[in-house]
Amino acid sequence: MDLAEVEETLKRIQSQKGVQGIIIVNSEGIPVKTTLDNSSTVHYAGLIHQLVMKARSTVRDIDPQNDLTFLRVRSKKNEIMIAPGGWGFSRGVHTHSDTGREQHPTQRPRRPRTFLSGDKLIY
Amino acid sequence: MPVTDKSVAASVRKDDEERVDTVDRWDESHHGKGLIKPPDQLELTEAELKEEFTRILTANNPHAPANIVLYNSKECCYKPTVVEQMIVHFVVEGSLLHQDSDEARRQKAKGGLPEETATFDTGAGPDEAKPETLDTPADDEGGAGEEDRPDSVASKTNQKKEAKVTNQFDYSERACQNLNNPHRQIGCQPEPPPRSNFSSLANQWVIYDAYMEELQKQERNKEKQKAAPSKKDPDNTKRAVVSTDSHGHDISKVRKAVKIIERMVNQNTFDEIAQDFKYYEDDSDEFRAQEGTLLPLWKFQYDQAKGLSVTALCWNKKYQDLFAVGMGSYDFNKQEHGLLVFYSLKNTAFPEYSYPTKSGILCIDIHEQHSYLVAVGFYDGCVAVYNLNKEGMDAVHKSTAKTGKHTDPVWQVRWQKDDLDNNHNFYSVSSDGRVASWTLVKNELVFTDVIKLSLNGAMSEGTEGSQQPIIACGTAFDFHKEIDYLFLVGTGEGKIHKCSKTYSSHFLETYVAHSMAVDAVKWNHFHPKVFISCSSDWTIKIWDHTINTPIFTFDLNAAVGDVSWSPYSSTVFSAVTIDGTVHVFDLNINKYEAICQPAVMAKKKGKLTRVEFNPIHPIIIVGDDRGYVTSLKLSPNLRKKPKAKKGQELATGPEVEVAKMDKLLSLLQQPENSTA
Repeated sequence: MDLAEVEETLKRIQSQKGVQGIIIVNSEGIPVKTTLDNSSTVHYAGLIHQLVMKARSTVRDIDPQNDLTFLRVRSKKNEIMIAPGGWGFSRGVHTHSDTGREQHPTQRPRRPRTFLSGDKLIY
Repeated sequence: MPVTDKSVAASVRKDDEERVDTVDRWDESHHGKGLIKPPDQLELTEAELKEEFTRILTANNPHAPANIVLYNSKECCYKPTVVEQMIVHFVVEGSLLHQDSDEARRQKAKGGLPEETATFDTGAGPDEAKPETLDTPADDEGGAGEEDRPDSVASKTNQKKEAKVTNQFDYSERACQNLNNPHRQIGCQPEPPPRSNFSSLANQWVIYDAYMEELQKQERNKEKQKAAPSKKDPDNTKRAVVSTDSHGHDISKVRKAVKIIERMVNQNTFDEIAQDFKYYEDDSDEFRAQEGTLLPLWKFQYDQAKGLSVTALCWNKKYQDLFAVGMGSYDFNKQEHGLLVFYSLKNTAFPEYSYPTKSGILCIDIHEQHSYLVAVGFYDGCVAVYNLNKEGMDAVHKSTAKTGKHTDPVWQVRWQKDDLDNNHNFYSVSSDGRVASWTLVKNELVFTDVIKLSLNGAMSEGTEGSQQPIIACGTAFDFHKEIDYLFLVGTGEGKIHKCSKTYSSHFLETYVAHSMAVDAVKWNHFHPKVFISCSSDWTIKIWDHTINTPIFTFDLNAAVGDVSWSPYSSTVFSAVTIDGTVHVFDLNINKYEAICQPAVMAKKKGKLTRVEFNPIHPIIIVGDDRGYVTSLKLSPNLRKKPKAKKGQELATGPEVEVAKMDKLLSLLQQPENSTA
C-alpha cells in the first residue's frame, strides 16, 4: 500500500512543471531509484551525499534533538531540493525561471492579477 | 748576638761554677793553649758576664698564638678562645693490647683452648701457649700448627670450631672453574591477529543517538518481559510484525521524504501565491474608505471529485493549515457517491487524505481537541466517525439502520465536549425531525434522541393522544459557545428553535425566522447573545436570543447558501449566495450593506455553497457546486479592529468584541425605544 502511494506521489512530482528529475538514494549514498540518466544520477548522488551529511551533522551538533528537514540549493540555472528521510533521501532537480528572486518579496514584480471587489470576475 | 744558655733557676750559680769548673777543667786540660775565642765573639764586661738572665721553662707552647678570638653571636662580640698548647712530637703505634680488651680476649680464647686442652694432656703446653698467644701471628701459626693435632683430637670432644687464620706465607687458595654453558635463546612468534583501522566521529549527536537507542532497547526488553507470560502465538506474530516494520520503515521514511519534496516543488510552483498569502496587503484599501477586497489565492480541485459539489467545509483547529471538504450532492435526483477530502495549504495541488464514501456527505465536523476524529453526516441518514490516524479508507464507526440512523439526510453534525465517562460524543440533526446524540462507547456508536422537532411545538409523550405530530425537518443547528446545553435548531419551515439539552420536550423559545428552510444558524464567537441565520429566502438575519425579532436583516437578492462569523471580530461575517458572490459584512463599518461583494464565480457556471473563515490566517475558503474550493485573502479593511482614541491604548480580546456588539445593539434599541 505504501509503495503504491509513494509511486503515485513521485509521478505527481515528476509531472509538475519545471521538474527535471527525481533521485532516491539510500543511507549509503547509492541511488535506488531515478528518473534521470545513469551518469547524471551517479554524479549527483556522489556529490550531494556528502553535502547532506555535513549539513545534517551541523544541525544535529548544535542540538542533538533537532534534525534536518530539507535543504535547497539554488543556483543560477536551476535548483536542487533535498529531503533527507532518515533511511534515505530523495531529491528533485527543478528548473525555474529566475525573475528577480533575490529581491525582497514585497518589492519583486508580482504576477498580474485582478482584485475582486464589486463586480469584477476572475474566471 | 745574645748568648742563649739554658739554666735552671735555682742553681744558676752552681751551674756557672760547674761550667766554670768544667771550663776550668777543660782549660786545665788544654791549659797550655789558653782561651780560644772566636773572632766574632761578643766582648762583654765582667759585670755583664755576671749579669743574671732569668729563663723560665713552662709547659706552654710558645708558638701557639695567644690572641685568637672568635665571634660569639650570642653576645655579639669577639671572645678569646682557648688554644691548644700541646704539641705532639713523636707517635709510635705499638702492638700492645690491654688484656681486658676484646681482641685480647679473642686471642686468649684462641690460645686459651689449646691452653685448656693442653692442661689435660701436658703441663708444658699452656706455658708455651700463653707466650705464643702474645707473640706475633707468625709464630702463632707455627705453634698453632703443632697444637692443631692435639686440637683436632681435642676438638672432637669440644664442639667449638676454630677458624683458620690465613697468612700471606703459607696460605694458598685453589679454585677451579667449570664450563659455562653457552646461552641460547629460543622464542616463537605467533601470527599477529588481523588488524583493521577504524575511525569514527563522536559528535554530540552521535552520542545522543547511541543513548536513545540504548533507551529504546531497554524499553523493548521491558515490554518483552511483560509480554513473555502471555501466549506464545502472539509472540510469533509480533516477531513477524517487527520484521515487516523494519522493512516498512524504509518505505515510510522515503514516503516522508517524497512528501516533503512534493511540498517543496509545489511551493516553488505556487511561490507567488504563497508570498501573497503571507505578506501581501492591499494598499489601495486606504483609499477605499469602507470597502475591502478579496484576493484570490489557491484553488483546490481534485480529479475524483468531478461532478460533486462541496457540501461542507471545516478547518482543523489544531493544524490551521489543514481543512476538510465534504463532497456530495444537493440534488435529490442525482445521488451518487461522496468524498471526504483533506487539503493542506502546504500542498495545494493534491489532497493529504481522501476517503471515498458510498453516499454523499452533507456535513462534517472536526473534533476540537482530537483533531484526527472527524464526524460526518451523510445524505442517506448515516453518521460516521473517521479516524485520520488509522490506515484504511473506512470509517471507524458508522451508524446503521439498527443503530438508529436517521431516515432522512443529516444536515449538521457537531462534536461536543467529552461526557462524564470521557467518551466522545456528537450531535446530529436531520430532516426526519430528530436531534440525536451519538456517543462513542468503546467501539460502538450509541445514540440517544435528544429532541424531536414538530410543527406544533415539542411533543410531550402521550399527552396529545391520537393526534399525530407533524414532524418538522431540522436543517441546521449550532451549539452555544459558552453555555453548553443551549443550542439552536433551524427547521425546514423557516423557524428557529432555541432548545436545551436537558429539556427534551420543550423548546425554550421559537423564532419565526424565514419563509423558507433555514440553511445555517450560527452563534457569534464573542457575544453570548447574538446569532445569525440565513435561508434560501434571500435573507440573512441577526438575532439577539432574548428578543423575538431579528436585529438586522439583509437581503442579498439571491438564495444564501451559507453564512459564517469571523473568528477575529464580533461584527464581521461573510455569506455566499448561489449567484456566485461572496458577501463580507462588517457591522461596525456599515450596518446596511456588505463592504465587499466580489463575484467569485460567473452566474451561470456555478453556485457557491459553503464558506468558512480560517481561525488564524486572514483567508476564507469558499466551496462551490463544481467541487472546487477557492481560497481568498481578506484585505485589511475587512479585518479592521476598532481604532484607538488618542491617548488610549488599543484593547484587544473578546471583551472588546462583546462591547462592540453591545454598542451596536444599544444603538439599535435606542431608536426603537424612542419611536416606541
